[in-house]
Amino acid sequence: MSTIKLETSDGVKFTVKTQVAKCSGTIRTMLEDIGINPQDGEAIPLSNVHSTILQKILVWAEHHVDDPEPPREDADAAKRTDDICSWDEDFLKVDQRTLFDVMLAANYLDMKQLIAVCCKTVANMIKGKTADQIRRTFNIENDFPPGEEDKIRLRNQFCEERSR
Amino acid sequence: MVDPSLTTTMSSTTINCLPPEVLEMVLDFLSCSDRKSASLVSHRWLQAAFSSRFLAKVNLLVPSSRRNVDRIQLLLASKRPYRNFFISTEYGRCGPDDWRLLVQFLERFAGSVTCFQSMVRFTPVQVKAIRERLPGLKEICVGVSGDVACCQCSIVGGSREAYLGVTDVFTLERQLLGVGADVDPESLPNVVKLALRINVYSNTNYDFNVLGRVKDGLREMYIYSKESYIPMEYLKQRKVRVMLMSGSLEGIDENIQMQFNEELSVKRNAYPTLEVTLPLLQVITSTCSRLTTLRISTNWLSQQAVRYLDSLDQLEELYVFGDFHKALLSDCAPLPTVKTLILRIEHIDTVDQFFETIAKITPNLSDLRVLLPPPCILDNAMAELICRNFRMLRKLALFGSMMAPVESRCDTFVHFDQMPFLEELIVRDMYLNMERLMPGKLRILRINYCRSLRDEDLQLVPLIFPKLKVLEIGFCANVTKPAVQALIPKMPGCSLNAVIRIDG
Repeated sequence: MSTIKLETSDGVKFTVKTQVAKCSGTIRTMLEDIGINPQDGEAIPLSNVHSTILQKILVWAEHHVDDPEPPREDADAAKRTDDICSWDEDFLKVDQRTLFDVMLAANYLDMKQLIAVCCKTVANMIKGKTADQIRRTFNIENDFPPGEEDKIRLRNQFCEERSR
Repeated sequence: MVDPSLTTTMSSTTINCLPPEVLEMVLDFLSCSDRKSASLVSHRWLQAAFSSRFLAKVNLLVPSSRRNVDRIQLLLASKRPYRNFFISTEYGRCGPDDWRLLVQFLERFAGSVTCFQSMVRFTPVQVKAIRERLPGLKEICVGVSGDVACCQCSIVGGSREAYLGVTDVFTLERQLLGVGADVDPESLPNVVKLALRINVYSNTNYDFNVLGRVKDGLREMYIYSKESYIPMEYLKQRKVRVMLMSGSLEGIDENIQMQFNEELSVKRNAYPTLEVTLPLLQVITSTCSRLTTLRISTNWLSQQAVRYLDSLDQLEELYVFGDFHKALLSDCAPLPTVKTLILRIEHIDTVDQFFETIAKITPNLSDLRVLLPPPCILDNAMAELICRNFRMLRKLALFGSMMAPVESRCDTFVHFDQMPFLEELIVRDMYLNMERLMPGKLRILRINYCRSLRDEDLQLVPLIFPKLKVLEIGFCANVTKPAVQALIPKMPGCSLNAVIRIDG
């Protein structure tokens, strides 16, 4: 089975099955379109990804390598967040720092299924909360000047889910 | 295990490190109400929550009450590029005040709106105005009034062709209404189009004194009057080309009438028919000898009247409304310059030979429109007569009567295939057989209120008329929205315009 080498931002080298590495759209493009030859033994540099995060992502990719292509969703359809499989749920029971690092890396590596499951997880953390509760959950500073929030709240009234 | 939602972390990577597109992807999983909370978190979240991707999926709800000024100002100040416009008002018509307000919204959101929906009933003229103000409009779903049954309808397709039914004959363009209480005296001398009304209760000469201040540039005049007396001396030496005279707003939608009356600050229904008598016609034709378009309402279209019309050697378009009497029309001299003839037949004493006589009077006609309001009945036998007598037409419009009972119409279909030059065909409330239409040159086809037209007939259209540029299907009871939508990809070069009943 063919393997390739990946080198992370902190200089750690990973030897990965080509099939698993191809879960990443970025790596797939490098191999197929740009013509980097994995047989050269030269590692593909992933300058935006730390070794601890890549290790975690490779665990996810290894588990999902044989997943079928997901069906194309209707862009207008309401999106579900209660369909995360239990393995992924356990996989993403991590602290916020790791969760967002995984999202950043998955975004950089162009791994659509992993991003989607991370986004669902974050969305579940937001659902049902007030703005203030959301700020406290994610440690976000309120940068609106006084009175601005009320204006936005009023403006938001004119916006409504489309009935189809 | 640590539940991430309970962790307040001081780590370097936070949710704010996510690029905007990833934050938007997170918010895509939220319902509208959760998203509204999210938009209040910070500036960055506000932007992500109301991304253009989200705005494409929600409605802009325009408040119904014009009394609620604060909310309206707030909305007008909003810079969000909404694409779906929904008027949340209760059922009702769009009166002058609502309309004025709506125009402000349309102008404010014109750049982004692609879908316009409302439970409000609009007149066909208003629908046209809405479409003109929203250049990106792809779908409009509104009530349309001004017809026998007010119904919820929908127009689909990316067409720029404005929807107008029979009322286009009466289109009153607001900018034409140059005279009224608040007319700008500075602009008067340079007026090109002018609409005047003469009210029996007002000082008749006031408006025509106004006319005295308009310079020679005046080309088009619309006259609404009860009186047969019109001080034509003001029109002498002018180069007026278009004169449309009407004593009545009858036939115009109530709403437009209201707007019109408000514009001119007069009471409603002050206009019975303006009857153009023979002496008045003589004055008009001798005073405005350069007329190219003339609309009159007269019950006495006679040999003498046609002789007066013949003195207009540039006359191309003639609208005649009224009763027609065969005896008065026999042996008329021809009007060779007339290319367009619009007949609104209030009464006809005998159908036999009527169209033959008209064909003799206007031998060079290329555009004929026949309207038969109730109680006249445009049945298929009459349509056949028209087709037989005007074979050289390029454009033909036949407006039947909505009121005509079904059994009064023939079972036969009209033979439009005997007209080799026909390019545009407009039919309303008639039985129509698709296969009898002349495929060769037809480029524009408008079919309204045709109960005989079915979904399966519609699917034949791209096959029969590959060169069609405009197709309009309006209020055909047996045509459904999916059938019209299925046509859109099959006719890429054709602008498609459909008005379909959703209920009722």
